[in-house]
Amino acid sequence: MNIIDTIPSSLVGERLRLARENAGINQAKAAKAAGLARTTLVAIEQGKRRARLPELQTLVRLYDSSINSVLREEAIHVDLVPRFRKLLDTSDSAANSAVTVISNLAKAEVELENILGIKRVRNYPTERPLLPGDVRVQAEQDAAEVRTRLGLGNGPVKDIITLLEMEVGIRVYIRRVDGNISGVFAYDEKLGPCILLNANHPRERRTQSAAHEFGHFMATRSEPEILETNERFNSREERYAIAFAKAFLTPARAVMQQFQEVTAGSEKFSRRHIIILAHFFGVSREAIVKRLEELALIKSGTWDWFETNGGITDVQARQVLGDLSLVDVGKADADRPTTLRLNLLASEAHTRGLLSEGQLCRLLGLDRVELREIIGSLDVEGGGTNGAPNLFA
Amino acid sequence: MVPPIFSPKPDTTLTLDSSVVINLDASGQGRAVLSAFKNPIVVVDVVETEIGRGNRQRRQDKAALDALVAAGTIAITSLDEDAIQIFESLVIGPALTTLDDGEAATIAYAVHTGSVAVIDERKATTLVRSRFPQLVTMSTVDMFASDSVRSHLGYDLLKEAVFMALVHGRMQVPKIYLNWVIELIGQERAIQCLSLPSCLRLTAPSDQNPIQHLNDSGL
Repeated sequence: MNIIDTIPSSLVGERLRLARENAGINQAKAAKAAGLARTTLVAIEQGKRRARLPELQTLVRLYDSSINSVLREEAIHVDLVPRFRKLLDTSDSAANSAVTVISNLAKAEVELENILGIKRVRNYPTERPLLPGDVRVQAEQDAAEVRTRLGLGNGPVKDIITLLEMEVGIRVYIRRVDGNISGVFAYDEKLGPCILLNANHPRERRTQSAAHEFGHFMATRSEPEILETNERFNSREERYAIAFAKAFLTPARAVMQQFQEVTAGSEKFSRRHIIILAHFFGVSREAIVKRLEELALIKSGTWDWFETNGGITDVQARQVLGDLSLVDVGKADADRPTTLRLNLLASEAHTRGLLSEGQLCRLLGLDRVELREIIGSLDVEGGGTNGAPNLFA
Repeated sequence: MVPPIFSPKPDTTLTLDSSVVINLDASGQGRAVLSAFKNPIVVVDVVETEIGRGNRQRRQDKAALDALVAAGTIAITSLDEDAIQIFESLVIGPALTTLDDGEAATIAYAVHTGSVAVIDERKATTLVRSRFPQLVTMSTVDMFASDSVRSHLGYDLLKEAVFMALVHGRMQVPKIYLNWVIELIGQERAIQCLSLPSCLRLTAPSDQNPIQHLNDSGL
């Protein structure tokens, strides 16, 4: 008996279906390219007919995968793409590719964690489903409660990415994505909550997108979401997420207090105030001005006035902030072939002989030399950590 | 001095894995190195497909392999029924005891045909030692260090080829060859070779041999 025959045919079929869908190939095309009748492929995917090894080889080659990737015990078989189907226009290649990016990164990370025996913190706040009535009121209240739970008090959220990753347990990826995509949110039992942010956007904009997606996680986590720059926010879910992001990053009382301190003694509200307040809360200049307008701390239309009178430039911001200007490390990390965390996990799995070069390349979508560069770049100790004592307490 | 090396019998087939094809291409002397061996040299079709994937990542290794096949230096082969059973046992199962398809196909073919598996993968060679102790394996550096390649290429060309494989292919060097490789390319150029252990790259030559600090699990 062949080893393949010891695996339930329904499991092989299911994994082949996911590999095909992940490759974006429909059954008719796959069957034709593999020289199978469509009905045969359907039967294989439904587990009604056992796939033979040569057929498996042909199919995985077609799907740009491998038998090991499909049938390795620890491999994570999740396809997020179908869950986005009602949000995705098939012609929107940027959105499709963003969903594929987050799906592949999360799957690779979870498999590496499982192989290395890493248990990720799952410290999720309870979901707060939308109730009848004004969603903005609900969002303000939910944001305040979560801030308290996270020990933020009335202070600014200095690094929302680390906060969401370390304190909440959400996987956050910052990668360069084309088009108007600002953020993607998905939740899956195996992967946990995942957020993708566009590295092409400025840090403050990404912070806003992260808080927006966090809002979706709080109220509607079973629904996947794509945030686009030109989006019209008509639904209750979207209005909740916007209000949640504002209240989470710029809580009303904190903004009022900070506004009072920053503008004390000033006769006019100026660019300098905006730059300092935006920096303090880590949000864009537009976001802070609109929040001040909303809280009736400044006149409505103030942002428009600045816009038509020369705007507020980055040069002016640097002039006011000097050394306080923040370096955007997210962009640098996004320019690596994978994330720094994935690199560390991959390097550890390779050093410990748990995964081969071929397995890691396939898992991370890298070629051999890219993978060797990553592993080599993390060798700052010598030959691995050889010679060093175990310094873990 | 070259460490004692293994030389395959002239009639034994050499089965090359992706990792080796990539290193040889990076060396710029792939054809010359392979021509130095009188042995038949093969690549399994699964490995050929895998190398083709690199094209999407802007690597040119597939074109180099095609040229070697066209020149008759390498023949593409496939797994027969019996070899497929070995292959199957190497790709299906837990991560720890399996390999990706290309690495598994190279080993399955070599085990089945009694040929030499030329493979640079540490996990694969560890698996081979426990599961197929009779199988003979070689690394890319074994090839460079062999008498036939050293005499065929000559000192200057060999030095350049090894340096290029290190820089452009990030070739892994087995521990036993570290001193030989650094002596060959020179300490100054070794600094540029990031696949060499940093304790060797970044340490000036001294009386103390830094290789002693490496443990036995190194390649």
